[in-house]
Order: sequence, then C-alpha cells, then structure tokens
Amino acid sequence: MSKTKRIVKLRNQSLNAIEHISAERAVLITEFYKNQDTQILSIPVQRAKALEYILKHKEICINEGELIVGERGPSPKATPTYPEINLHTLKDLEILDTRPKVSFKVSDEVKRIYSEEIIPFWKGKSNRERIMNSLFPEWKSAYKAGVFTEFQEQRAPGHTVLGQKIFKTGFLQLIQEIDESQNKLDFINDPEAFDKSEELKAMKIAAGAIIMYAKRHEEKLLELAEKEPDQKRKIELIEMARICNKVPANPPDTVHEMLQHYWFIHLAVVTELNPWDSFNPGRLDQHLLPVYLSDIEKGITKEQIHELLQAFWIKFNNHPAPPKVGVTALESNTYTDFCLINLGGVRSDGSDAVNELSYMILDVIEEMRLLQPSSMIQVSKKNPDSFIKRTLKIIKTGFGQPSVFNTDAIVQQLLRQGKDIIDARNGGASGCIETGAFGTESYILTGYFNLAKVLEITLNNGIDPLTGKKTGIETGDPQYFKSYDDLFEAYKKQLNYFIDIKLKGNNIIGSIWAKHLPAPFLSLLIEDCISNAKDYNAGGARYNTSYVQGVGMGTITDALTAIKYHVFDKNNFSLTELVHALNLNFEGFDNLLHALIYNTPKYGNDDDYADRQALDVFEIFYDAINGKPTATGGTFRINLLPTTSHVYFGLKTGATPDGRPAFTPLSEGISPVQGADSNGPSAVIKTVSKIDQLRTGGTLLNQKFTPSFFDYEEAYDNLTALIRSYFRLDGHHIQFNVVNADTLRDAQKHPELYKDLIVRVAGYSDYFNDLTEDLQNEIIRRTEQEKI
Amino acid sequence: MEGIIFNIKKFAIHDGPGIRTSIFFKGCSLKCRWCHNPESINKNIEKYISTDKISDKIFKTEKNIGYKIGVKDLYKEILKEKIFMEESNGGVTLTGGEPLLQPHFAAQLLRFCKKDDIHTAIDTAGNVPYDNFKTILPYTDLFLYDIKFFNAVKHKKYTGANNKLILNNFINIIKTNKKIIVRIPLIPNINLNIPEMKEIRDFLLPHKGSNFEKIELLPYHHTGQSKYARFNIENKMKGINEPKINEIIPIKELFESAGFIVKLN
Repeated sequence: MSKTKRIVKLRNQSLNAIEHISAERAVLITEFYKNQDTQILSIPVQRAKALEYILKHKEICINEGELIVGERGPSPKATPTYPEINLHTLKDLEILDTRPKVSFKVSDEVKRIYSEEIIPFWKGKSNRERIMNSLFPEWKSAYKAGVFTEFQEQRAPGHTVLGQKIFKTGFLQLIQEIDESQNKLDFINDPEAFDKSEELKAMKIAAGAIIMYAKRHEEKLLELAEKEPDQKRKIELIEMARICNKVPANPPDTVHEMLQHYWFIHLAVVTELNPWDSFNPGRLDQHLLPVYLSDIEKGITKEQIHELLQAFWIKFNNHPAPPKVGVTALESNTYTDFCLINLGGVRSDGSDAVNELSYMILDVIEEMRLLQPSSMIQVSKKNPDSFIKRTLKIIKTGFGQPSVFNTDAIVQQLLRQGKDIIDARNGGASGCIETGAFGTESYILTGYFNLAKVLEITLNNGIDPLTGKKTGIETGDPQYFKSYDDLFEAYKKQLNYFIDIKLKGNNIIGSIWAKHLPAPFLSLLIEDCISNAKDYNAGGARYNTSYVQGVGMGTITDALTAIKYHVFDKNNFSLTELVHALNLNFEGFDNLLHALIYNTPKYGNDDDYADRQALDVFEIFYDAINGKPTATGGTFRINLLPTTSHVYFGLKTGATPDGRPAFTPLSEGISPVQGADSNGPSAVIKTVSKIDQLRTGGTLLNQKFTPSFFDYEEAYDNLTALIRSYFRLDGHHIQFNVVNADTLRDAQKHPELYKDLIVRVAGYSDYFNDLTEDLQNEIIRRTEQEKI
Repeated sequence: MEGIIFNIKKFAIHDGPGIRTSIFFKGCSLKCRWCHNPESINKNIEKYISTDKISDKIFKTEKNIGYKIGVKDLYKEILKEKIFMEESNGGVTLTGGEPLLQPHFAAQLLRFCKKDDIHTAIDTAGNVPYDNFKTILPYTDLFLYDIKFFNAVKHKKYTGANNKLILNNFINIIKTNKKIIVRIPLIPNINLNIPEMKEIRDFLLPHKGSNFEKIELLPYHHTGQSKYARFNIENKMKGINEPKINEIIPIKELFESAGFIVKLN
C-alpha cells in the first residue's frame, strides 16, 4: 500500500523534527518533590504520585491528522529529562546542544530553568550521585580504565517487553487484581506486609493515573472536534475521543483501540522512569491478530488497518532515547531507544505463528523506512521460507532492518534458565538481541565487559599500561610464563577479579534502585508483580535475570591465538618482545605486526586451532557469572553484544596481540575481527556456532553484503539456506548490512546527500550521518562479501 | 592419495545448484587467453612474491601457488560445509584448472562425497582422454561443460589446443545420460559474435534432451585481470572491455529460441 497524504505528512513531521530537550518533566517532578506534603509518603507511593502529577499537568499534544495520540514531551522529538535519576549539569546541556553526533538542541529557556530551578533542587540528591557515592574504589578504578560500563548509573533498569496479558486487560481489571492482592496480605505473619501494602497502593495510584491521562486526551480531542471545520476529520476526532475514554481502562476490541491502548502504556512507562530500551509491544502480529480478524469481519478495510499501523510506527520515531552523558553516551551513542518489534516465531502452543498480519507489518516496515521502531523476524523451523524471503527483500533495500532471530534457540535458552515452556514460547528478543520471556520477566542489562582490556592488564601484571596505574591484581610477570596455559590461567584470574567487582557493583546498584526508585507503573505490566505485591525493580516479576554483556570476542580470541601460535607453538618471538611491541603500539615492529595480521590463524574461518580460544574464553566468562544471585533475588547470566561499546572500549584499550592498533574498535558481538574472516559467510557461521549460544541470553552476528550480492536468481534461496543452517546450529541471531563501501565513503564526503542512509550498527540500525567517524570507518572496513 | 589444488572456496554460489564448496585443481591442458585463473594453468606448485599492505607499508613474501593435499584432509574440509549443502541442495564442485587431469584423486574425493550423499559437480573444459571421464563418471551428478568455439582454428589459436577431443567427449558424456550444463564464456573480439554462437548452437542442438537443457553464458569480466599482475603473468587481454548487456542479450535469445534454458552468470 502506498502512503496516504496524512501518513506522508506525519512521517515528514517526524523526520524533520529536531531532537531537543524539553524541561517539562523536570519542572513537574521538581514541583512535586518540593511540595512538603509528599515528604511523608512511602517511597513507592511517592513515585506513583509523582507519575500521577506529571500525567495530570503535562501538556497534551495532538498532532494534526493523527490517528494514534500521545507524546512523551509537548511535541515530536521533545525529549524529557529525569533529574531525580541523572541530573544534567549546565555543561552536560551545552555538550548535548553542540556535540556533532546525536545532539539535542537546548534552548536558553531550558538552560535558565535548569540553572535556576532544577539544578539547585536536585544537586546532591540524584540517583546517579547516590550510586557513585556507594561504589568502592576498585569498581571506580576498573570503570575508569574501561574494563566495564554500567547501564544503571543514569538509566533505570527497564529492558522488558509487554506480554499477552495486558493487550487483553484493562487497567480497571488490574485495579481489581491489586485490591485482591491487598486483601490477601497477612500483617500478623508476614513481616513485609506493610511494604507490600505500600507497593500495592502505589500500583493502584499508577493505574488510576494512566486512566486519567487517557481521559485528558479524550477531553482535548472533543475540544478539537468541536472546532474542526472538516466533517470527516471531526468524525475521526470524536471516534478517537471514544477510544481514549475506553482504553486503557477497559480491554481493547479493535486494532485502533489496541494500538492506542499500547501507546498510552508506552508513554507512562517512559514517563515514570527512563528505562533502558524504552518499552516494547513485543509480538505485535500475535497480539493484534484477534482484533484484526474481528475488524475485518466488521467491515473495516485492510487499508484502514494498514494506515493505523503506519501511524503507530511514526509515534515511535517521535521519541529519541533520553540523552545520555559520559561513558554511557559512548557505549550507546544513538537516538534509537531499542524498541524491537517481533514478528513470526511460534504461538503459545508451539505452532507456526506467522500470519497475514506478519506480512502486512513487514510491508509497513518497508514503506515507513524509519529508524524507530526497530524490527525483527523470529524464525522457527516451523515458519515458512516465504516469510524469510519476504524479509530478505526488505533487508536488500539496505536500511538494516529487520534482523533475523532463531525462535527455537530462544525457547531453549529460556527453558535452560528454568522458565515454563509457555512463557518461553511467548518470549522473543528485545533491545539489540536480548532473550526474554515477554510479559513475565525482568531481564536487565547491567553493563558491557571488555574482554580484551583484561588481557592487556594481564600482560602487564595488573597494571593498566595506558595510565600506569595498578588496576588489576598481580597474576605474574609474563616473562616467566612457561606455557600458553600459564598465560591463560593468569588471564582467568584477572577476569574473575574484575567480574567479581562488576557483580558486587551490580548488587549495590540493584539494591539502590529497588529501594529508592521503584517503578509501580511498570510493575502493573509484568506478571507477577501484582500478586507478589513487589516492585519490578525489586524482583517482583515471575523471572528476574541480570546480564553482563561480553564484548570483543573476536579480538580476545585472535589475541590469545596469536600468543599461543607465535610465542609458544612456533617460538617466533617471546612474550616479553610482544608486550614491548604492544606498549609501543607496534612502532618499529613492522615484521612482527605483519606476522600477527597476515600469518596467524584467525577466528571466523572455521579453523579449530583459532576458534578454540573463543570457546575457552566463553567458558571462563560463563563460569564467572552464570548462576550467581542478584541483589533482588534473580540470577546473573551472560550475553554477547556490544551496541557501540566496542568503539568506546577500543578507545580505552592499547594495541592487542591480534595486530589491532591502540584505540581502534574491538570486534563486535560474536562477529570476527573486521577483515579477519576470509572464507565467506558459511565459515563465519561455522565458527560462531561453536560457541554454545544456548547458554547465553543472546549473541550478535553481523554480516555485511553489498546490494549486488542479491542480484542473481537464487540469492534469496541461498540466503534463506544460510539462515536455516545457522539456526540448525543453534545460532541466535544474524543481521545483514546491505550497502557498498563506495556508497558509504561517498556518504562520509557528502552527508547532505545521504540523510536517509540507515545502516545496521550492531544489534540496531542508525543513520549513517549520526555515527562517529570511527564507527563510520569501521562499518566501511567490515568484510564485504562482494566477490562471493 | 594426494592431489595438487590451489584453493578451496566455501559458499560458492555460481558453480552449480545451491551453496557449494568449490575445489580448484591445479593444472590445465588449455591456455585460454582470457583465463581468469591464470595461476591454475601450470600443474606444478609455483612460487610467487605476495604483497601485503598495512596502511602504507608494503610487505613482500615468497609464497606458493598451489599445495599438495591428501584426499582425506580435503574431504574433512568439505564436510565442514555439509549443513549448508543440505539446507540449500548444494554440494561440491571440482573446478580449476582442469580437475580431470588428476582423475584418480578426483574420483576418490567424489566417491567420499557420494557415500555421504553430497551432490557432486565437475567443471571441465573437456580436453582430456575419455578414460579420465570414465574414472569419475560413477560419482558425478552434474557436469559443467565449457565450450568456447565450434571453429577448430580459432579454438587452437585462442586456447592453444584442438577442440576435437572436447567435442567428442561432450557427445560421449551426453550418451551416459548424466546431467550437463554447458557454459560458454563470452569474450569480446574473440568469440562474442553471432556467427560463432550459431555454430555452437548448431553443434549442441541435436543433443538437447532431458539431461541437457541448460546453458550458462559467462560474459568476460575484469576481476580475473588483477591476478595477472599479482602473479606476474603476461596479460593478453589488456584493453578489452567487459561486454555490454546489449551485446549479450541477442546471444541469450539465440539459445533460448533454440529451446534452451539460458542463464547469465
């Protein structure tokens, strides 16, 4: 279907709107906390009332011609701040305003408000300051050295996805459930009864708040209808008002109602806190199917539904991720807020879930060609090849979406973690590639872990050579290592030391969030927070998982292989000589560098000699983390993805034994080092599937193809077979960047001509123009499959 | 048993159906002027100076073209790709060079493949004794059979060999009922002209049948030319451009109107 006039207009409005900071939320939350009456409330109730206050007083924005209403800020791309979590300084605002990439315009008025009202009130009270104040010196030193990052220092532990239940449930029903849970509390025998009661009270306030917020839209729509000269639009506005009266208080019965129902929920989640990965409707083609079929039966046309979906897409694109600062801005340097819409996969009963809507939504993705939301298909062995081929045709157009996931692997990962099979089948992947049980799990990413940096520190016996400071522990002077095993043992000790620091930090930070910043609204959405009378941030969900994400798998593998091969197996040079060369960034060591790059077995070529080291690193990383308890009663687990942290970590890591010069990006996800794979995509797939991906919560594999690769008869068949093969080998995810290097180089020179050029970065897509030059160069360098 | 090869190419998608592993045999009995694998012609392992670059720095090292490999080791490499062959209905293609100059090595390898139900193809120029074909015949599912000229004089001039054996072998293979796809390179100024193609068509037409209905046209392209510089071999194709699509279409139509299924590669 082509785009209607209205959609063209709304899409342009979204594309042309400039990302800017809105002080609205900051002002309202400050007003709320300044009010003395709020001081005596319990923290959960205080948080719920703060949300209610914001939803009651924030401006209602209804854009001209819109079908789905509600904006997080007063207008598209108006981006709120969360001073109680992360208080932007005037300098931060200045940087946001002027930084060349991922900037947010900050008006003088916003700066004034910040300097006169927001900063004076929140200084010393924000959660970020609370966290930094609670962390210990070893954590700070490792964090500063770039050994790991920390997600929750300035964004809330969100990272979850809506499941089936809420798409069928109104908030009036949830209030009933809250009352039932409240009635069951046993104040005599349960020492936590009061805390639970306060949490339930908070949830009830939050449920009321969203109903009130929807009604405010109803009023505004009726007001607009009153003034509307155009009869057709008038009827539309009245219908939209009816919908806002009905949902989310009551369950939705039409596609229009369901999309609006979700959208109010989305807005409340991202207004309550600034959770990582905003929020996500998840399995959209599944949730919508029943109302879609009944709409069609009632005579609503497919064109109307199609248009509603397009309108829904635009709403996501109006909402850039809240502005991050410092290290966190570097590890996730993007406007994308990681709403990953899932299509396909299997139903609760395990049967093929691909339906008519899956294809319609793929059409919408292709037509809208927007940065947000992200999209993916889940592919089970039960899904038809035609579903994959349709998707490949969109991938070929080169905007990096949708990515392709293995449902059968996801289900097995979830089952291994102890989830019920129905919950597992209802799950999928969110964010970049993260596995989750939708609607029932809190699965929080806690930070990236730099696998290569740990080797650098090991090779310098605990010292970070970039700063000369002692950052790790003494694991032995490398000149005395007699075998590769000695070195690997030292690496393992060093890794365990840093992982323990990371997990300890996670538990401190997790406790702080649970205690100081509960999320009563989000808790309404994820089962079983209501029946447990426990907050999402405190472990109230049915399943609670915290992840540490390993980064630089290709780099660490090739680095270890280089040492094993040249130093211990072939005696080409000593470890001391190698360390010396690394610390001089290979200056004066041309031949050694040449041997490292050109004459060393490399990860990504289905060569067991080279791939072995990846498996060893995987095992020690897994053992260090998997199964350890979190502060909120959950379990720590691993996954392997980078977002943009491989670039940040690269800047923090000197030269590595794989021949990588200092300060250049690490490898991303489980992909080979850029340029190290020279045997084509099937060999890459064989290599990466040696890693036992079922023991992770997701991995990321990036494969770059130029458009010409798709220009032969059987290309779609062969790519489908490639995907099927990877998934038979239990691969988790594969994404295709379809673009040619010359186009990218030209885009670097003439950004003005490539405003719409979207490329797959790592688990998500971004505007090429918005990437830093480093990242742009890296994408150009990645192995092109041109000649295959 | 050992053979000499110079490359194993995985995810090969233009040498027969599906995703394939192509094995490049060293040694050829022709010397086609346009050969895009000139390093394959000599049957012995040769030396060359390889040039690697790191930024602006150039590193020169002596390397070999081709290596000896045992049939079991080679088969181990092939088996690594089996899953892709299964999912795509692909297989293994022996190419080169001329794989049929090492018939026993080839036969041994193909026998292993067939034992594991892997589809096998041989990309041949046909200029070998028919006995060599007989050796591999039981283990071969598909022939990719190159025909360059019908005209014997031109064939001799541009490939260095007579084409009588090639044409006779073709007829013999057809009789075995094995599947054949004929591949015709289209080389500007050399065989890319209608009269030459008509002669080829007239030769092929009587043999069209259920085991031979497909023709692949391979328009000359420059990618092979960088190899002449790399391996320091005299390039006789300098100044010859890649054919334009409007030069190729009439030839495609010529074979199509004779009832063949024609694919442009």
